[in-house]
Amino acid sequence: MQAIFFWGSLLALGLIFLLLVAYFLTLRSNKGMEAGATLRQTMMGMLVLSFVLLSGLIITRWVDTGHGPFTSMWEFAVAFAWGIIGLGLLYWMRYRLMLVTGASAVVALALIGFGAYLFATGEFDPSAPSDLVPALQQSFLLSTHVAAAALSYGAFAIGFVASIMFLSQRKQAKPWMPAPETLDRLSYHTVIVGFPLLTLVIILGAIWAEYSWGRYWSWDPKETAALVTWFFYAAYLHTRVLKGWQGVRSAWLLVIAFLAVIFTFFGNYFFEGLHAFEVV
Amino acid sequence: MNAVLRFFSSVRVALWIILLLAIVSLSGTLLRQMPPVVAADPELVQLWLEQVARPAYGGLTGVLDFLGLFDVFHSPVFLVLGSLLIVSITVCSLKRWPSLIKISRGVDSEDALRLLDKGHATRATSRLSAGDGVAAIENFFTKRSYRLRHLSSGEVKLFLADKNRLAPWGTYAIHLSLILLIAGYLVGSYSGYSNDSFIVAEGETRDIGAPYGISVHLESFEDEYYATGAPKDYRAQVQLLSAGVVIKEGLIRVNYPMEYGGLRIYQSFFGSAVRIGVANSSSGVEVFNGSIALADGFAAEGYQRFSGTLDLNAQNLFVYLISPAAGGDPVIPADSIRLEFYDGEQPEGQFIDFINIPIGQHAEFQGLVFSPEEMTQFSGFQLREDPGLGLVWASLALFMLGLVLVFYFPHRQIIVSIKPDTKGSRISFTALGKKNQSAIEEMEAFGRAVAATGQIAPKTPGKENMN
Repeated sequence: MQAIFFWGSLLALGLIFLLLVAYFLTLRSNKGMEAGATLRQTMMGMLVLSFVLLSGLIITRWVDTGHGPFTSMWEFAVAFAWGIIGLGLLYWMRYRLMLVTGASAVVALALIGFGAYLFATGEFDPSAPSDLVPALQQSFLLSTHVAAAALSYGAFAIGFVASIMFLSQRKQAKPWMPAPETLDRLSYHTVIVGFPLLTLVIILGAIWAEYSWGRYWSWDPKETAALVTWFFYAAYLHTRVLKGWQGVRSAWLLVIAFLAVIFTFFGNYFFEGLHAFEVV
Repeated sequence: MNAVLRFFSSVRVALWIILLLAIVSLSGTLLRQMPPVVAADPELVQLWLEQVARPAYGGLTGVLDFLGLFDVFHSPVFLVLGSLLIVSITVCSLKRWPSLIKISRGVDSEDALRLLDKGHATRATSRLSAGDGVAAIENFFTKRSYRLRHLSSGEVKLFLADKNRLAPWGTYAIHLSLILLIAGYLVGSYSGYSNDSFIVAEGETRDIGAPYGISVHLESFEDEYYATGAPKDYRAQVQLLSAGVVIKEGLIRVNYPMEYGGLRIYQSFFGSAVRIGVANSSSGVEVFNGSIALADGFAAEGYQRFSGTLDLNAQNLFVYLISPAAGGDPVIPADSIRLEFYDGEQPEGQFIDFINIPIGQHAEFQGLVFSPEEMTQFSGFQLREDPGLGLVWASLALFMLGLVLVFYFPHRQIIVSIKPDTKGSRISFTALGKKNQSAIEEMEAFGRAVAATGQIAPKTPGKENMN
């Protein structure tokens, strides 16, 4: 069942990517909103389907393993993709910007593609038992700590996509793209969702570390990388709220901050440390 | 003095400090960091630099070490930046106190009129009469749970609407929480108790020492594994004793420490131990009987072995007990223990001799019979008491509270004036805190509400595209 959900979501996200390219070309060539509307509706259907498939994957894996599926890079890649699609749909409900939600799904596609790579190279075997080492046997903290991270990173991914779209219009606004002011506002909204969640991730991690390792903070590379990411988003909020930064500078800051997110996410591959149990 | 205060209350300075802290922290993530036990010993530091750092960083090792980048989080640069941030936060917080009190009370009418006179207030003309306009304004703010104060001056009616007046204190709570966090860290660092390696062998009792006056007795230790070989559980059944009386007992597992008073006892590591008896060969009098943890790992000729020590002072003997290396050992047979004898404690004592004794058998040396009865286990506990922990948790809770107040209950203040006009009424309105996204959105919503009342100018906002 997991395999059906996994490959199904990969297929759905792949189709969203193709639809997005077609939608992009349609908008760019000004072929009219009717063709765009059909593509937009189809993409929405595929986004909902991919969200359902990813949710099904998480639920079936949870049931099969008996614990929150947040203990390996494969599982976290799935959760991260789920966060992007779920929040992408919520932001669509608020802003109705299909280009942003659709392009965010490309980040989710990359994550599920990464999951497929882990599967293909044998680094991850979904049928193998998912044994929890003693340090991870804390069901509540395991689920909340990692689920908050997935949602937080999901929000940041959408902010990253909106910022890229904003920057692509920094010299001249493109009529077929979302208005720069709207993108700027959407980016800010992703941070006010993602930043408290990232703070919660760090706090829950500290509480867990206190119970598991006897220290709420150990300067472990992964937790330090999360703190650095937090610093970037804190700087974004400070510059925005106190200094009135908007537009290009804020957008660049969000792009850099999301690179820090990616660095933190893949950190297990080049960090040694207390989070090393998460590699696969 | 004023220049110093100005410097530390500058947002630009605070941002630079945050940025530099992020860069320094990043270097601590990218570069290998010395474990604390290494950093505390200059000899180990040199060894670590040669064996760990130099192979990885080559010629840069000296420079990186000079800059303190192999122990970034204890380096002067990090401590100075951290201190500067705290000073900056404190100065900013103190400086903002009077203005926060004023803000949370709400803008007064004089300030409100001054703000409306400024060029950036939005002005609109509505076909509604002033009376109907007042009703529409009141309806807008009441529906959105604003506190509404109104004043009249001749024909002009002034509305001072505000909502979520506690929100500005959210920023204060966030900054205060950072100070509390540092305070908690310092209290824990300088007045807490920490022992990272408190080893007790099965069946043994060990005194924790001052200031607790209690002992830990390890009844049993079990390590369990999955079929794949991955560790499943480490559990130590312990008793805490005071003056020989059991005061607490239970299971200690990873994630589930035992707590007594403010002291927490964590399951940290484990290993082999050997239960051994030592008796005088002629009289049969027992000299020692107990378990010895083989906790000190060392490598020799490519074999990793573990050892423990037994100090037989009265017999002027110091004994190393060494277990065979896992996977076959050319020197120590399997199911045996090697005893190395010295004529005094290391490193002064001179080596005398060694014997390998199969477990369950015995051997004699210098009038003593050594009987390793069985291999058991030891548990390594981590003992911690952190009096600053309460402050740390309080600071984190305060931080989250601050974030929730700032982001999800943002302070909104809108000032509106309305007066009769030949066409109906004239409305001027402005929001405070225009850098705040929520204020901008609220202003837009109010603008739309004004437009809906039959506004003539400015134009109704256009429909956004859906791309």
